[in-house]
Amino acid sequence: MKRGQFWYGDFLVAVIILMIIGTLFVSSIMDITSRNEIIKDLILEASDISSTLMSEGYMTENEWQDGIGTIGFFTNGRFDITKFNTFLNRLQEYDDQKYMLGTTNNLWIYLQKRGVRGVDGELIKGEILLSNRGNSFSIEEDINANNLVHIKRFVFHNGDIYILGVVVWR
Amino acid sequence: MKKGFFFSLDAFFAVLMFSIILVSIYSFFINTQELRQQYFYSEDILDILVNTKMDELLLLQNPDYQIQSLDQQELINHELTIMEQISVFQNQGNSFYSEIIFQNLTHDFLGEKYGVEFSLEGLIYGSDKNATALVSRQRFVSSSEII
Repeated sequence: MKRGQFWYGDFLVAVIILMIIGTLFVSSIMDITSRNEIIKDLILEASDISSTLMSEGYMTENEWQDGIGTIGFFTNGRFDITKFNTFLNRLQEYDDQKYMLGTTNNLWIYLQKRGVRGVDGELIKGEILLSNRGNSFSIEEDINANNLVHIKRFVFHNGDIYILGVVVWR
Repeated sequence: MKKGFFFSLDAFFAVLMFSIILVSIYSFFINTQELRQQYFYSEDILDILVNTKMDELLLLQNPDYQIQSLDQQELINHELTIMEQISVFQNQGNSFYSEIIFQNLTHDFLGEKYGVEFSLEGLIYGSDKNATALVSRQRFVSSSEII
């Protein structure tokens, strides 16, 4: 065998290895990019929903029931828990809630109290006062989804700060 | 020095450069930071500080929080908003009291992932975190003097 044939063999192996690495790299980048796109969409949606809920809304609660208007939990610049209750009572169907908030993705909206410190100083999560999914979830980790976005907002209610959480997932 | 050594060195540098480029491109795609949550946190906290009166705070009656002792010492003016009260303490040179108010109100809300700094005529409260992505919000606040 001539010396040049060894070089050619080495070169071929190197090119094959390079191609394998290149293919794996490009496919992983494409996977990350498409996943980022989904996450970006969910972030936009969760942000829009949270901003809508932090507004006074549009039209009355009666009209919300008929699918007209915009849902908002504020009155005169302050969080109004009766509006949240009205939203839950009048739009009991999950699909109606999603329709009124303009999303086709899964949605969890909740109001959570301040956490408290335990005896050892560990933070114990606060109680969830209201939720559009009943007792299905108590924390984000209860949701089994690959693409999930959780936006938390702070509202002042009943003498303390509460978390108004919006979780959107696909 | 032998000829093969130079070839190995060249190959080593080539592999090194190739790896660095791949890692750089990869990390560029991964490290796209989203700042929306930080924006909401800072806006909401400022909204609450500006729009809520001290009188409304239930923490003033809760012995687990230091702010209650400030109230018992009659250092708090219930008619002021939280931001105005903090500003008054700052003007009096009592920034430790301002820190207590801010810390008691916001502590435990941001979780492990986020840190917060609050300044009014100088730093009042800052959590010990190195920032990799930062959102800063500012408001003009009323006080006994313009700050």
